[in-house]
Amino acid sequence: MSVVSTSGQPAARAERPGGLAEVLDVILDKGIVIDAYVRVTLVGIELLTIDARIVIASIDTYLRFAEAVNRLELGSGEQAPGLPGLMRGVTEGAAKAKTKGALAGAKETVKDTASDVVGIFRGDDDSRQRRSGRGGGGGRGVIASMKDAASDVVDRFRSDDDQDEQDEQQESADTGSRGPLAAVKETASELVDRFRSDEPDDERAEPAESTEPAGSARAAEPAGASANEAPAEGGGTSTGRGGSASGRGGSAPGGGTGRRESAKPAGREPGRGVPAERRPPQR
Amino acid sequence: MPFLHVYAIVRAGHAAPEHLVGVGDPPGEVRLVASGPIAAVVSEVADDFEPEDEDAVRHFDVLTALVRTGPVLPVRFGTVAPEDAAIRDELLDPVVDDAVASLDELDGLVEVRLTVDVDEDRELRDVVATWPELREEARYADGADLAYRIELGERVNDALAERAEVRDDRIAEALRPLVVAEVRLPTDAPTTSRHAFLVRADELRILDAAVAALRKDLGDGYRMEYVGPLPAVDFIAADDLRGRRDASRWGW
Repeated sequence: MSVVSTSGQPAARAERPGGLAEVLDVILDKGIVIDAYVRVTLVGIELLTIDARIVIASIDTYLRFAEAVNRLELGSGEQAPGLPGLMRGVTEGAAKAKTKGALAGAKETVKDTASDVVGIFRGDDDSRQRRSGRGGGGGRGVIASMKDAASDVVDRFRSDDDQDEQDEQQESADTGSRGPLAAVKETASELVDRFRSDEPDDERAEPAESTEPAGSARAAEPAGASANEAPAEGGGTSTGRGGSASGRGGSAPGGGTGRRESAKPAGREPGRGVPAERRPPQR
Repeated sequence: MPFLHVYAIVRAGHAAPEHLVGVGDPPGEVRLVASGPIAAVVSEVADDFEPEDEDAVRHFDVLTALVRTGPVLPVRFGTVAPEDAAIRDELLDPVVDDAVASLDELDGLVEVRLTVDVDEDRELRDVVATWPELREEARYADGADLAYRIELGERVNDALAERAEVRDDRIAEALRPLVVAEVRLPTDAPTTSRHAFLVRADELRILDAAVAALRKDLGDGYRMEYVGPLPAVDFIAADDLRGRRDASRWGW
């Protein structure tokens, strides 16, 4: 983010946000949506990717805060505020390392993936710089990563148990059958369910005939190894605010975002009418 | 066969700035497709166009360039059509009345966004000073089970959110005299405040001064990003203009 530092200059008005996440926030989930039509269509990212970050966000943030307060305890008194950048770097490192130690197996993977995904949404500058040129050069862009993850989730909801799509099979060869976002989402909801609700496991593992097919049915599974394939952009791009986020949405993640969403992780997507073929037919 | 990428709906007579760089590779010429009193802003893209990061930025830049010369109703990034006729038939004509009304409402108004980050450590210190028991409980967080840590973290979060609300009010209050409407946007963390303000385009300079004063008033430990003018994306009653709208964005 092109943020004016705390060193005294007035905040000048910028024509464009410093981060791609903010750019996307203006152009992606806002404005006139025309998905009801035949010839005018949408290409690109499914809206649900945006939602996925909220699922991840709350848990990640809570865990980080728990760590941060503990760390404060050790350092308080001698550590004066005023070195935000440096302090944050330390915080992140410590929080991440400790969390890793505490979360075993699949959950460790998910934690990393969550950070990666969140990093994709916020670590834009780095990602963009890394992509030195259109199509060429190094890593993939933020949008490309979101798209891959989204299409995987969409495929999953669209055809829960058939393997018909060549795309998906090809992808499976690369990354395992489940994309990082899907794994994160499912496991995040599993975590929330397990630790916040008194419902027995069986209830969550109910078959997928209801309105919430994939998410809850899969919630009991551990995260697939595919979670390791989290797009590389996220990992290295933790900026000042760190590898976590939460959808405060005007109040707080504690306000229930995580809970509400996790209660019905997949209830909405099937109804969103993701077009099977998003290109006009005359192509 | 090339496609048309759609940026926005504007008035048919909108004086679009020249030499706007469109999306795609190579970028197409940005032009208007008019139907009656309104027009779509479009540029040609290849038929296999897949939006990438640069395209998002270019799309954004086209919108902000347009908003400098008149009201703009943004169309969601990634919207494509095969030809002018499809845009008239499916995009423009069905919404013409609402679009005209919205464009009239937005005439002379623009959005600005203000993001304020407060230093997290500082906030945490204040929280712990107010609720010492949090510090006590955090002693046991290291190595504690996940449920314990999530619960503790949530309470810290709630405490931070309480402070955020006070900060949000303060920011909004400082700019209120110049603001036609305001929205508090979702944020990634309770150490961040995000506001969108609908303001008069001809008062942007005054707003700049007010923001600078706010910044000074907040003092150290805050970082600020101030962006605009933008199309009024957070203030457009888009529901009326959407072909279809699912019940709720977050209703799951």
